[in-house]
Amino acid sequence: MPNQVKTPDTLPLRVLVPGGTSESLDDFLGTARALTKEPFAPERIMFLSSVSQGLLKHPRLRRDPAGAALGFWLRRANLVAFEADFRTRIVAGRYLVPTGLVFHVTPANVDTMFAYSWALSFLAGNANVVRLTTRTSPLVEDLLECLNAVFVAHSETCRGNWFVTYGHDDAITGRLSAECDARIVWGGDETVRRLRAVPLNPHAAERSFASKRSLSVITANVFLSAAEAVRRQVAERMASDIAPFGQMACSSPHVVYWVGAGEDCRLAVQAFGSYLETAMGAKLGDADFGWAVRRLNFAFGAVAEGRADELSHQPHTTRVFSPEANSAEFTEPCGAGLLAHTTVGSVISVPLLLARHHQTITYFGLTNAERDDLAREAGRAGADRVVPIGQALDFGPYWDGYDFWSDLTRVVVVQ
Amino acid sequence: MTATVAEIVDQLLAGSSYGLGSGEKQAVLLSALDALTRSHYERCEIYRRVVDGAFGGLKEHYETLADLPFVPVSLFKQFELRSVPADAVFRVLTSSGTTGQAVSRIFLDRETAAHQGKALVRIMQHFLGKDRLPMVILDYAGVVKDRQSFSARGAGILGLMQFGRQPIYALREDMSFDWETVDTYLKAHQGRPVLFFGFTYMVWQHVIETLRRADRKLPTNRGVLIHSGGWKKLEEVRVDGATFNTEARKWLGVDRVLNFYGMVEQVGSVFFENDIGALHAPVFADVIVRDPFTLRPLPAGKRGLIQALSILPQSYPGHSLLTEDLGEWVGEDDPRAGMNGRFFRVYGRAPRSEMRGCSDTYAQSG
Repeated sequence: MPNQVKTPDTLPLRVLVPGGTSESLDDFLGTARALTKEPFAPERIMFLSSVSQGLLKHPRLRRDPAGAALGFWLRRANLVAFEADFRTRIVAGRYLVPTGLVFHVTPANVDTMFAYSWALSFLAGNANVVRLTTRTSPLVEDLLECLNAVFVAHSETCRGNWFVTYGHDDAITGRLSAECDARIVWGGDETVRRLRAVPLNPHAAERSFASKRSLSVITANVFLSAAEAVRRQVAERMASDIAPFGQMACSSPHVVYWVGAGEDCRLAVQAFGSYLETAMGAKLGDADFGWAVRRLNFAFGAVAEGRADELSHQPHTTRVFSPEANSAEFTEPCGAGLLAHTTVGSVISVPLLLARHHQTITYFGLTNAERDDLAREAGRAGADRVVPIGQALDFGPYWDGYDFWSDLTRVVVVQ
Repeated sequence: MTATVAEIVDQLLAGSSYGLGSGEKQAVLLSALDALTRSHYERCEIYRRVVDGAFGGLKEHYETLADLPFVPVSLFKQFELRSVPADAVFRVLTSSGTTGQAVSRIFLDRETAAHQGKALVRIMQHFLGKDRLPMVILDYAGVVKDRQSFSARGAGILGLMQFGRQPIYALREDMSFDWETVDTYLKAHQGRPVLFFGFTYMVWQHVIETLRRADRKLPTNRGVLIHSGGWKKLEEVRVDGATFNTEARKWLGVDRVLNFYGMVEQVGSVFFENDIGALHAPVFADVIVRDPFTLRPLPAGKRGLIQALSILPQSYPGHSLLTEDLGEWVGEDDPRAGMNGRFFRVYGRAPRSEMRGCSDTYAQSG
């Protein structure tokens, strides 16, 4: 059970993990920085792979796409691959040491994000205090339960790591910000603005993740001429990118830019749309009444504005078609299974439509040369991930264009 | 030459509001709604885009009411939907949205405003008879101050006020109950049925609750309470229709309590409760219930989104609206209902889906 910790200001901070801790916030903050370890310490890798096993055995989590994805991501083989990547940056004359105590402010839109942010920092050897939103979900409850079980089993390894929650309280945020060595802020523009106003220890660094938008690029005639099984698979992979989290993860696409002649694109959109509906139905089960109404309002709004000239509404998905690529994107994303489709003459027109609030581009039907050109040009415009459709939600240490390893470690020069 | 929409409205205004059987009624409505669809298509660019983009353009011929295009009611919050030039706008109605929310704006020209007013008169006369009754408005006077721009509440009060003889307001500007004015008025009209009108939640919160707390019943007046405006807030305080009716009779001293369902986007052609407690479509209007997932019309007894049709809106394309209200239609031309036409039930607003945006780490409870 989460316990109440009274801070000097009697602030209502609850420690979720480790459950039942008797440690006070003062004690925790007083010792945390001394509890850091070498990056990729074997016992920490072990610890995370135990979490992975717990998740993948959990009766509900292993069936939940987001829970299973986290469990899979934390499995030993993946952690070892991270380590190999990390080791490439170690050169003579430079040691990499953990940055110290890392304060994570994690988002509400992606339930599992807090665990990813923490796991990378834990691997880098840091002590961590992870703030979860007070808005909980069954998925988060289950995750915390799994974490607590491993925390109990390996209580030495995880010392100096706390998962906490507290209300809209700048005093607690202020205290943690004054003590930490790095502050990692998820949760979009609004949260970043709020947090930036809270002073950070002068020695500490900050990494903020602002609101991002994502999109897809598909070559129409490659899709149209693909075998039916391939077309269906592309749609299924798109569904795995947009079904979780109500399509509201920053890396879930909202617009599909079809490369090709206008009529080919419309044809492709129709075929794609019906495969996608089937795939979304299979993933989501019963359609949601409120989501359907939300999609209808957004889609009709786009048509009324003149941004779209075609609309198709189905139980789990709604699509609109925009004749002009530069007005296809909604000002505010709808999510809930709405995609805006549009057409561009060539792949290199896409970067012209992007800005620094764009993040992930998922693709199908591009040659490697097209993909690489897109990555370079889109990168200069603002986007920072170009990955095949189906991998939009695969989190990694390079995110929003930033290098987590570099944020989570300090460089010690030895000569 | 077929009849114009205005002529059809005038014909229907001359007859009973619940007289036509469904077969005949649908033929009349179809011809008016078909004409309205074409006229709004021609005169309102935004409506034209919706019909073209979401319905593949105008059809040469609409077979049934369910074939007609519709617009989600939310569009009235985002767009200025108007089929007459700005200088022909006689009055703008606005919905009373909660703070921070966009409000609907409805543009009426003189003819539409007149038709809506007259339709409401005809519907009300069906329930109240032709004599105008002494009337107590269970609201405050300020709600209808600005005659150019009305909230839904103001529009409703102004519409209903014409049924009253020397109407008074029961509430002061601070929402306190004006005992002196009400007592004096009821004494002066002793022995005559009184018409009370107000919005459901206002009536409960500021009238019935006040009378109950003061333990002061109004004198028995054989009158009628007409109320409208949705049950959402009352559900929050656990008050259902039966409780409301019992308490209203007890404290206001009325014989009858009549609820109606209406929306600022279709003022006039309101849906009154019939003898079996369902909402009944008057001759100017009809309802279709659509599957929210396929948009296909649903048969009786299946829950879905209510689509409201009205032949009154000529100055704005509000003749066929997909609401966000959840409901089902129950029957039509049923003798037990005491009137012809289709009747239905409303189960409140479709559940709002909460979409957690990127930027809400700290939102609300956060």
